[in-house]
Amino acid sequence: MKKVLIANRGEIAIRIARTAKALGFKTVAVYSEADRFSEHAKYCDQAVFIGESEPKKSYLDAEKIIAAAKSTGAGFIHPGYGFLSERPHFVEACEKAGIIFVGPSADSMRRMGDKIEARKTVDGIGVPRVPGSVGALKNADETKKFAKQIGYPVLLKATAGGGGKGMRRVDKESEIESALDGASREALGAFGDGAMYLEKYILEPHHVEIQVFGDGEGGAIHCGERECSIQRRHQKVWEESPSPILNQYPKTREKMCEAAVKIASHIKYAGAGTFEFIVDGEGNFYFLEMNTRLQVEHPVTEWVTGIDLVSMQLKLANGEFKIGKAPETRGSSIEVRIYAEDPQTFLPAPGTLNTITAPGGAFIRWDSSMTPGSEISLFYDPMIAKLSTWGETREMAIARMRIALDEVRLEPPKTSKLAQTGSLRTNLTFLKKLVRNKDVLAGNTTTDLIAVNTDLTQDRSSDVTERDAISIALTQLLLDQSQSVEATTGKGVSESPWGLRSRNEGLRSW
Amino acid sequence: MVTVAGHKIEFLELPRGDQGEVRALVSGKPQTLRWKKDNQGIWIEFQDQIIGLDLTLENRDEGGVSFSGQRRFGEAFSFAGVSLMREGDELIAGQSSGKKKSTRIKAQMPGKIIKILVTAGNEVNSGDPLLVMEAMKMENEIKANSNYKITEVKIQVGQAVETGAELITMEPIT
Repeated sequence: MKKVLIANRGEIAIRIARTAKALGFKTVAVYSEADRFSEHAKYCDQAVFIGESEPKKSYLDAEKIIAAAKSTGAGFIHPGYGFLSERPHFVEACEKAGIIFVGPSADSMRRMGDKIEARKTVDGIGVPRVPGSVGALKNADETKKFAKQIGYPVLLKATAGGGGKGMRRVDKESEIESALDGASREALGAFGDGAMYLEKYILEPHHVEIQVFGDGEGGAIHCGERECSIQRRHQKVWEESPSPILNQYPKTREKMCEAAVKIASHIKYAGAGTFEFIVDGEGNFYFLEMNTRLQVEHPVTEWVTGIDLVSMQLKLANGEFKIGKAPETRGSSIEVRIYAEDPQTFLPAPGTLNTITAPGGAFIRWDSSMTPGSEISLFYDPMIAKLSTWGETREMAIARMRIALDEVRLEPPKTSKLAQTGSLRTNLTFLKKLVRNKDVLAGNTTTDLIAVNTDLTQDRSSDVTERDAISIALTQLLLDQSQSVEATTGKGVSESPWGLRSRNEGLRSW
Repeated sequence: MVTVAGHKIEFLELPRGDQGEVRALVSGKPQTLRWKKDNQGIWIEFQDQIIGLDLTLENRDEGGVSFSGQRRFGEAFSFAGVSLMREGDELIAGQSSGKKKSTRIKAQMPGKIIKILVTAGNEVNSGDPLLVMEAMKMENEIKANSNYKITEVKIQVGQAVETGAELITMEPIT
């Protein structure tokens, strides 16, 4: 019996389990204290408790996960993204335990997963990359020396990093020390490794990545690109395929795909991987890094190619995969990430969800593990859902996204007076503005889009229509009245509502 | 009579329960509205349209309440800080305007204080960093959104704080 343990949580655990079930695998979930009775644990055929909420004591604990696989008889472990997905020592531990790791070899991970090693590999093949320090920086003086050579602005990055953690833009020498200090501490906390390196900061950049799939024997194909330029806090929030900037420079697309396949083939890469590039406004491209795992934004690739990347991963792991031609792409796809965060500052604002309504309709995909009453835990990434759409054109994919976002409802728990309880906020209003933004519609998707379009992060309360006003006024009246009924139980209420209101008002402090 | 975002509305009877019908004068014109309230807001049936709003009531710093919310379905619509003006409200506002109002910086999520960059008595400009807090494994710099004088720092470096905890109080500089 084929059985796969999914060493992850949330939407990605469910997404992997769906395909695994379709392929005839039995599925095993693992879950932490905070995730008891969470959707991914309920969804799988079996579920094993692996420890405390803190990731280090559960989802990052290789021994506990391997023990769970052994006790349930799982022959495969799929790591998802994040957590143990890019840890070579975990791959080796799986091998030692006789369990097949669904992903690349430990050797590939070491060569490409570590950013400094990756640069050496890429330089050897002759793929262009952003000027920067090859090794980890020793101290502030060395950092200043490199920064001066390359020229400001520069970007400090964690060698073990990802997701924007441990990353700082530095515009002048006097800022180096504090930036190095803060970024290094952040990296140490997030990845257990505070080593930093330095890169030139490319102006007007686009973030474009190439999805590849390798058979582990030197065969590799690309599955098109994804543009993920629209980011806040250096984290992606809108991803799409095909890339608007590459549509302007189709030759660049060809060269990037060729480079990605060349590297994947050279290192005998096995499974799904992603090469991240920076493309400037003139179509020049630079290799950034490789992610040796399934990406969060893989659904847009699945939409435009019609392939199921998880299915390919599982088939390869089970020895049923033969590499073919690169898939044709068709139409356009967009994904947005719905987060529990402040829609203006983008600071995480996790909490409990009372109401969650997913959109539906043709060419709409909703990846989420949240249901009414779910809690977005502060122990993990505060993502609520990924929403993706497809259209025959980019305009149609965007139109579907606009309509789908208007269908989404995410509300916190409230008192009977409609006052919010708990700390939840979401970026839904931000995304609704983003999908209507003129630069987004025009495909001017540079990485500074959110910073430049300041209206995206401002309150808008000017367009309250008469009917909205009536709804608000009536709601207020109902709330006031329920208050007055509590206060005057047994007494008839016969005076005008606003008279009553003003009488109540006198009793209150405001 | 009440004014919401410039629209004058007067209800002619009291609505009761969770749903029903109510007569109102909207900009002087009579309308009959069918409504249904739920735990997140309200649905209202107009002659040619049903509108639903998810609403959240907010207490304002300067006193009183306002609503934030958004439409259920239809065109994207969201608003924040929409308050009701009642007849006589101006008078109350006039009385309180002489008072100097202090602003409190509160923790928006649980976290740990990494750095405190101000002390009581400091004057800060809009955009100046006040403190650095670690939450969700990220360091977040909290900045002043206007010009202020710091009146009190209520936390210490290394301290763990819960959501809603007061961190700093300050007064606007005019």
